[in-house]
Amino acid sequence: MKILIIEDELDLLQEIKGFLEKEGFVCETAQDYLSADEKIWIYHYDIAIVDITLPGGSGLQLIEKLKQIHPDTGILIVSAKNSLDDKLTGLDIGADDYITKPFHLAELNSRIKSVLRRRKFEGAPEIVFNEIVIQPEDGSVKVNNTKLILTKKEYELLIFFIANKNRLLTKESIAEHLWGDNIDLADNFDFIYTHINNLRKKIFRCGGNDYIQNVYGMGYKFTDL
Amino acid sequence: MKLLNKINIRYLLFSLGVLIILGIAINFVLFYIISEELDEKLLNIQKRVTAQIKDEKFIPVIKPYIEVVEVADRQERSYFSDTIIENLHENEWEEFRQLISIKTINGKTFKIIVRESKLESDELFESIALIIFLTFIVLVFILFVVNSRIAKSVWLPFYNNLKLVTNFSLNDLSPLHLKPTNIKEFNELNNVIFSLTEKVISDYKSVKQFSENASHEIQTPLTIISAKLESLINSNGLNAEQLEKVKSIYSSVHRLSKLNKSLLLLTKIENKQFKDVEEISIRKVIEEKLIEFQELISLGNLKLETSLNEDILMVISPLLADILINNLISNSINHNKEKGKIKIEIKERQLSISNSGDAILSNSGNIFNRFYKDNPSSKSVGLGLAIVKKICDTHNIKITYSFKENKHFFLLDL
Repeated sequence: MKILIIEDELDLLQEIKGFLEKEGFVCETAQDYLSADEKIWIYHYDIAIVDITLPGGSGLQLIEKLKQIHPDTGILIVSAKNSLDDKLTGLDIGADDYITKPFHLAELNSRIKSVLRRRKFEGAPEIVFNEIVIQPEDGSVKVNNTKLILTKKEYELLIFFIANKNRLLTKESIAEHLWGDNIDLADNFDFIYTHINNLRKKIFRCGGNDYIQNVYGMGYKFTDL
Repeated sequence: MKLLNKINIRYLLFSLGVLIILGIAINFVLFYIISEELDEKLLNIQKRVTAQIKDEKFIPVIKPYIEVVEVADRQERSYFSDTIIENLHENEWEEFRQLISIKTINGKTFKIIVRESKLESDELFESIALIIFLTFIVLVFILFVVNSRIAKSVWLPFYNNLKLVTNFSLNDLSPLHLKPTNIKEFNELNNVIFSLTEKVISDYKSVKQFSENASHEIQTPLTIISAKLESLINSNGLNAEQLEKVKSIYSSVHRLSKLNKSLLLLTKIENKQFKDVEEISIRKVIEEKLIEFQELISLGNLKLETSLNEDILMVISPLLADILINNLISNSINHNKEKGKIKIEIKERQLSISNSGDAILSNSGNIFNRFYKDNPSSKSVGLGLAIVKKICDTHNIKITYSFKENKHFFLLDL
């Protein structure tokens, strides 16, 4: 899988690149409008991560071009502006998702995977993790072929974990993934613990393994045993 | 004190002073004129009496007006004096002016006394004084009325413009164009106010621009810090103590970015940047939010009571409606008691959200202020209700907080 990251902040660019390479993606980068434009013309990418404010031009223009040249490339907008107008314009001209700075890398990763699933597998790939099989199309989950009944939040949590397996997910990033960033729940992360415990129990009851580890009270890690 | 009243009171006081001084002066002049008149009249009568005695040898006597007696003293003289004589018919004392003259006529010396009652001249004096006084009062009154009328019409543009200045709000972002008048001083004032408001607005805009830009610019470095910390956390090379420090940095950065996002949101609501309004069913928003919050509600062992038989339709941005309801409900969950209650009710265009609590907040007047926290140790950002208030203010919703029967109430008149 090949990803183009268009971001003018070098530090952030390198961080995203490093993170995604660890996830097994091949990454190319562009720091301004012109070099991004050039790369779009020459190469073909599965996913493009586009910052809207770029030196030399607007990311929105890049998206329009990309849509013409390679309509099958998935597009994820990254913006410092939490502006609904920008978001709607972006999605209107063909972007797949919109993420606002500051974001968690795990969240970015999960969004990329979700875009990839929808684009590359026509929306019907199975997510398989050992004995756990998820059908994102209808939201069903099976463990050892036994159907698992999960609440909406538990389901989202499981997908988020599997997208970011073997990584420590902080409580903050989990909370934001599940509840969005408008929620002001202060220092109360107990509810995450409850959800995780319920999820654990449900998988365990169907004969699945307990893959979720608590790490130093900082967060959780979903690891293959 | 109103300017017009002040002018009127000054005017009246001044008129009163003039009235008193003039009154005294007129009194003296009038008195003098009338006395002179009386003396001249007495002199005339005395001349006629003298002539009659001389020509006709007839000595007229009409008591008490004319009295003639022969005297031995031959020294001729003549003088005026005042006297009081009893009126025998009416048994009253009457004031008289008299002219006493000693004259030698045809070889005989007479003392001729002519008198005139002062009663008549006193009456004359009184009526003239009254007429003058009344004329003066009427004049003052008419001038007062005319003056007030003129002042009112002259000051009218001033009062109109004053109203405009009072209603001036920085949020309108337009300098005050006051109505021009034909009075030079007022126009000068208007021009000064115009340039003043223009300057204030441009300063306000640049300050606002600055804080908005600053907030936006902070987003990217925050993302970088948080991304680097996440990779540090995942690097496996840290010992427990280092990890503990990274954890604390990470949660602080997280708080900072939440704070920044909330402040940006507040600024955007203030700037009315949410223009994509729709007709929103408040009941629907509440129902959606309650599904999202159901786990949190059951986690706190909270009892939820809803009475949503009525609905309120509102023209508002869907995002803001969502944030409004979201913040109110999450507030009622966060600040509830263990096994407490939440009640949400819509009744006659009024939305009421209440939750259990122990006591009224210590500073309940500041509950909607930015960064207000009832519990200072709470890690909450303290902007949730400030955002609620800002949304209410920009949409003409009246929101009130009260504490009754061990419950915190938020009432919204939608």
